[in-house]
Amino acid sequence: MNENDLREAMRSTLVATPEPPPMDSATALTAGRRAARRRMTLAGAGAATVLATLGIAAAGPGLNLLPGDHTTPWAAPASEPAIPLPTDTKPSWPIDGDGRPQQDATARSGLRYEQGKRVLNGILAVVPDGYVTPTGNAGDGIPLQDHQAAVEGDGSWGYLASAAVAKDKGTGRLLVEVHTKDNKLAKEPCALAREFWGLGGTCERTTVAKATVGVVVTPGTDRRLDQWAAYRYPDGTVVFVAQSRSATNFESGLKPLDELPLTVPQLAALATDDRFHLQ
Amino acid sequence: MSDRDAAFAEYFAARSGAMRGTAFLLCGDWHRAEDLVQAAFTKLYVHWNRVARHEALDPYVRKVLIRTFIDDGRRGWWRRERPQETPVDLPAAQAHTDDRVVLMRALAAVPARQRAVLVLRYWEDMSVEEAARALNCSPGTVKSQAARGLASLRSLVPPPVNAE
Repeated sequence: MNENDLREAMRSTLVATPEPPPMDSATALTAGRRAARRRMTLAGAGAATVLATLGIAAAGPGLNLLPGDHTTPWAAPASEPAIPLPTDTKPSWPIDGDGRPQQDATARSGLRYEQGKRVLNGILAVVPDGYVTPTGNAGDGIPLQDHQAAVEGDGSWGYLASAAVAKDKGTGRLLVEVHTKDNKLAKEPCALAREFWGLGGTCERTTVAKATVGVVVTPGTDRRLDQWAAYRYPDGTVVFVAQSRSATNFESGLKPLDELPLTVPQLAALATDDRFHLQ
Repeated sequence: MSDRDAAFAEYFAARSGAMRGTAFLLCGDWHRAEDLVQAAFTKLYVHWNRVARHEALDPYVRKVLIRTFIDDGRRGWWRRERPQETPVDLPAAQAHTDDRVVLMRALAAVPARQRAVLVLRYWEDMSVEEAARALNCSPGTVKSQAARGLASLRSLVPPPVNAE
């Protein structure tokens, strides 16, 4: 394939692929306005914080700092943008570990970020004997070890971590996803398991001590993961533990494992492991 | 509607389709392509006055689009599907559909930055220097990534490629 082949192939692909209806300008405009308002809100909040830190805002309206103006406190104009417009109902992102609002759903420092890291450490602590845990990136650019903490749409938090596990030149992965107790996920163990990433599959209920765990032992048509277990604690916390023969969802460039690292009972037991019972 | 809103809406109507096509080639999924376009245009709206003053709308949106795509590859990839396993956005069974599926699968297998270089260079017809500016890297990196990307495609796509 040369450059011209690629150009032609891309052109043909786009021409022949059914295109969705045009995107709506009004929707884009609404999203843009909302982002602009949020930006103003954050800027206003930042200014107010600085002023409060300096002790100016705390002085209250009794302190007039502008010469010749005896009616308006100096801090007032700076804090006005912090008042959301009535039409802006979208909540701000949670405060990150650095005391500032998160840039998006993902925590980049602080308690939530550390919880994500804890999930990764939990995975690394339970890797079966005989496996090593490579680091760096796979051929598709996906990290071989990673963790993430993200606030979900319902206000709960999801802690996600994945670690590649290698043995005999093959590389697969173990993956854990924890949802804090106020999540809206399914209650029934197998419904919960099949709901994971929308993967479906054939589920079996299994018992670990007094806990009932749903385990998808055979995936459906989507083969991103090979097996996974799901457990909901009585307090509502949900833990998914998954394993796959391949190292990433994409094309890792790594030879897959010949066998999965964990047995089904081990997978189910890990879903009830207290190290993943996080808030 | 303010002047800014009217100009933004007009620009969106004129260019969002082309940007979505570029995004589709990057990610192989129309839904995600629309998310990328939406993210890029939202940032454009916020910085409209500064960007529009310099008549740099297309380069700005394209740059944000590409960077959002690459950043997405680093973050939040957990639930993402393999493009080659989501044929819903690919053409219905027609003659030569396989060639297009093969291309999208092959592109999906190329690392994100290489894929971005290939799309910018050979779909957007950007020069090496323009692509380097969009990707915030050196022209040498663009050349090497393009060469590697093409080599990867050669190994993944059986010759000859005939998508028509």
